[in-house]
Amino acid sequence: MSEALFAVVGHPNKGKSSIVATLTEDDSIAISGQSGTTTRCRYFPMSVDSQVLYTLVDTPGFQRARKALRWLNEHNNSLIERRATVAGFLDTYRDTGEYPDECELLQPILNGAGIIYVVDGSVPFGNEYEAEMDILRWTGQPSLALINSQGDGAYEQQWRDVLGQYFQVVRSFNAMSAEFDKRIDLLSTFALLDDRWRHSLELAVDRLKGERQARNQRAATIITTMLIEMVTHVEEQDIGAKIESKTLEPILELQYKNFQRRREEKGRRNIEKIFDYRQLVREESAHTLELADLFSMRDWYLWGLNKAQLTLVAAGASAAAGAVLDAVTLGASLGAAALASSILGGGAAWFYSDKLASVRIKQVLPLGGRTIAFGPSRHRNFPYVILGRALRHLKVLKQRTHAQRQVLSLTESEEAQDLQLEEHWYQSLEQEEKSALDKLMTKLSTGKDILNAQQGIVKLLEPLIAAMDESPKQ
Amino acid sequence: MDVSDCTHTLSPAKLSKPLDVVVALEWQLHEDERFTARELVQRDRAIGLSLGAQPNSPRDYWLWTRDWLRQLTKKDGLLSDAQNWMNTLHKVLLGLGLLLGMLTALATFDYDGWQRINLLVVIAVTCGLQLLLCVLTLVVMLPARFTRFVPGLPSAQAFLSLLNAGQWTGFITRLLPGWQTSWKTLSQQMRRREYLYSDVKKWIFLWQAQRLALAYHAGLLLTLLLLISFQDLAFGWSSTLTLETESIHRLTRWMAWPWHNIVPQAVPDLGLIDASRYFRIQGQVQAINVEEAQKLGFWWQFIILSILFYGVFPRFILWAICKRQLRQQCRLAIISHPEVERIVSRLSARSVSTRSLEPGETRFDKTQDLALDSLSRNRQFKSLDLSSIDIINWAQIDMSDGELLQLFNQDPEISEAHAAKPIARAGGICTHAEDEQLIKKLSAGACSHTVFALKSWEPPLAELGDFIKALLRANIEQVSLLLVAPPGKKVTGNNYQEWARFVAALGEPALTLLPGSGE
Repeated sequence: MSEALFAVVGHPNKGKSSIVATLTEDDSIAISGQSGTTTRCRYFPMSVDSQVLYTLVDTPGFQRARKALRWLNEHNNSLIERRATVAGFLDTYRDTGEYPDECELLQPILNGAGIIYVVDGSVPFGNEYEAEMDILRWTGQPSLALINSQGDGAYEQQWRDVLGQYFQVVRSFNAMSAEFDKRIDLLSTFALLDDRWRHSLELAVDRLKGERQARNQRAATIITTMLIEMVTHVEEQDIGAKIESKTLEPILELQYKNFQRRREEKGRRNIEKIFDYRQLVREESAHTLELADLFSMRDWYLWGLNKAQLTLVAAGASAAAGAVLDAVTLGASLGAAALASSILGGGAAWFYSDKLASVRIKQVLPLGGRTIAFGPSRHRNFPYVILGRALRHLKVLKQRTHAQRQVLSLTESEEAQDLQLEEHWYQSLEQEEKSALDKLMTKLSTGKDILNAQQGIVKLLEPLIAAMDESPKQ
Repeated sequence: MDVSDCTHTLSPAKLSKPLDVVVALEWQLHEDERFTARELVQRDRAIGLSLGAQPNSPRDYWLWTRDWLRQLTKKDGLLSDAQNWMNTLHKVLLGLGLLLGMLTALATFDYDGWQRINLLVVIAVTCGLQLLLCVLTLVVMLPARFTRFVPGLPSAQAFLSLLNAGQWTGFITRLLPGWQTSWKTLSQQMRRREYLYSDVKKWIFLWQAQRLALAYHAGLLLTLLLLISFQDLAFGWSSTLTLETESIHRLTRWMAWPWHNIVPQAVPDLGLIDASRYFRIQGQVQAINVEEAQKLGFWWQFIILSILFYGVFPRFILWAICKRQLRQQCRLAIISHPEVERIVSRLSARSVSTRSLEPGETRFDKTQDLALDSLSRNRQFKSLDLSSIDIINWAQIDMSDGELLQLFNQDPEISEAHAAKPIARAGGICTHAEDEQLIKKLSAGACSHTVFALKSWEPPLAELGDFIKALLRANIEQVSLLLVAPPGKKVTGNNYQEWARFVAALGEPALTLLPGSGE
């Protein structure tokens, strides 16, 4: 099987490195507004268990295309010899320093790489591109053009008209916003360039999809673990018999909250690690700090349930408990227990919706002494808030590509919030999913049957997370 | 430290017990926090390939995790320190149990020849109390699915758990040296997964309590045997209650039922029981003959067997149950552990890599940005005297000459006057030979100042740099660059910076960048 090799080439500063970063999910690739950032070819092999299925090559941009083309024209006599003439050009100028960028970028193509030619669809076509497209045509390698619009894409059609004259396939691909399914589509397109590469690329696509699925499953597990650890966490402090517990309560609450913040941060880092974001910086600016804080309870409705939803969930859970009592009395209570429990549970959730957790004093036997404990949180909304925040973080992360270098902002803009552009994650669930989730969250809030709840939540999250990989439907 | 350094196949740690695997797993998870997901995938997939067929059942998950840990952990690592420390703790507890048993024996079988050892006390301490403790242990052992139907039982269980001797280990551990270095981190990590380890913890405490009890009985029996060997113990029975000899006989016969066929001499008969009865008020005054005194010593066989059957044997059974339960709970905790699924996934899933294996090499210079930014802001565009300059439309900007001239000088009359001298074209579609001819023509002309109209949205190329250098070498004294905005737009700050960097990189004092046309 011939190894599939693709050289990503083009004019400087048209997003070649961005495309490579997005396709390889490598955020260590240097990307900037400066042109000519890439000076040497860099190879990115896609391997499965050490077997390379294809390799992408990031290359420097053309710098002296017209002059190089002039040399080629002067040294060529026929169409048949064009590829050999390009090879002659490399032999002549390699290591001379006269055409460093052209030599560097043409070498992998002469070694058999398919050409991925990148242009920017947001700026107009210019004559200066013709020379480089001509040189690429001289190599005789299979080729594909990508219109990577770095702005509004106003000139995409103009580019399509020009590129269609030079390249076998022309595709639009935005390296900054391409969802996973678009990236996979693009890789599938690479397979069209040469039949010899079809098998390995199909295999690569299949493996990448499998890898993505595994990552999504891992993300579901990480979020669930974080959720359980945060909800069940108890902050404890041993105290002597003489110390007044009241004086320690605020300190304990602070420690409790600090733990929760650290745990959430750790969860986010783990998720970022799974999706190979190593150099990500998250936005913690002053104006979003309060909103970004886990314990900004007045903003909890953004992440979790609002007060009305919360009351309904609590009432539902209490009614279920009351129904058991009705069953025990063989219906003699005529469902009164269920109704009363429902009202009580719902009412309690309404009135105590600002209380995060309570302080308990535990007598420690047999050696005496006391332990003051804060938590676990029995607040009905707390697990929803944690989950909502985790899903938001994951969604923002998935909407991002490895080519983006700006900080990651987790909060929606005020405009987006006002217009409610994005549906609340809980609202987007089907009714059955909501019911199942409510039951599992009740288990967490009451600290019962947590291992089963864990499995249930993971199963519920997996399709939600997988759906984030799909492009929004037009 | 590289991720591959974590694999130590030459000296794997001994992980034979499920509890060791649990401890090793938490240590390894703590260690792995330093590595990226991709590094872990690469490391673990290599191990996974050596583990054989894909895991299908929960048992496979357990075996794969254990074997994975065996390949990762090393004998002389932190895990080993923790294991050694745990073994020391076990020894301390066993020593404590032995000591407690010996002290109990010395107190219960204290005989100074003045008064006989009261068998009722011995039976109460060595059998009655032990059976009661065993029953309480059984209550604690009951699983939650049974206890929740009995009102008050879960609370009683919680209270009894606090009394459990195994709980002491928790207190002792914090007092022993080495806790901070070996166990504090691990303990915190496991506490975060309380929901996972609560049953493991329960069975550890129960198992420890049974070990302690067995050690206690060992100390008790050992001391009793020593006392029997080196002292002449006289047993009797006495009670304030008006107990009949027959009642005691029934009790002893019932107690001796398990061994009455095997060791019949260890079953006290009615005569011995009758002869053993004493009253405190008789004291030492009552003289007994040698044969009777010898008979009183026969009780020791009964006592030893009672301790074995009602003290040691139930404890041994409880110890075996606890050990089995502990192993099961450890396995269950591992199978249910949220991280184990990820580990097995890393071991079994194909290792997919898309990253480059070589370091990147760039000429990205971030330090210049600020200075250039201030440069662009401070400049003001001034109209140029068109009669003293040559203008080159580089790379064929899609504008008429008139439109371009407007950019250089807003005065329409001056523009018209200059129209007689058309704007030159270079770059873009022009051939390299045409560019060379233009340089010759300009150097022979009257103007010593050449101005380029450039596409601001395109990056500067080396071929333009070559062209400018050639111009300056050909007697052109000054070269200026004017950035032209794309149709309907303005020259952006980023574009300007990009071109300013180009001018700075060329290092030609005669080269200047004019403010953009649209600014």
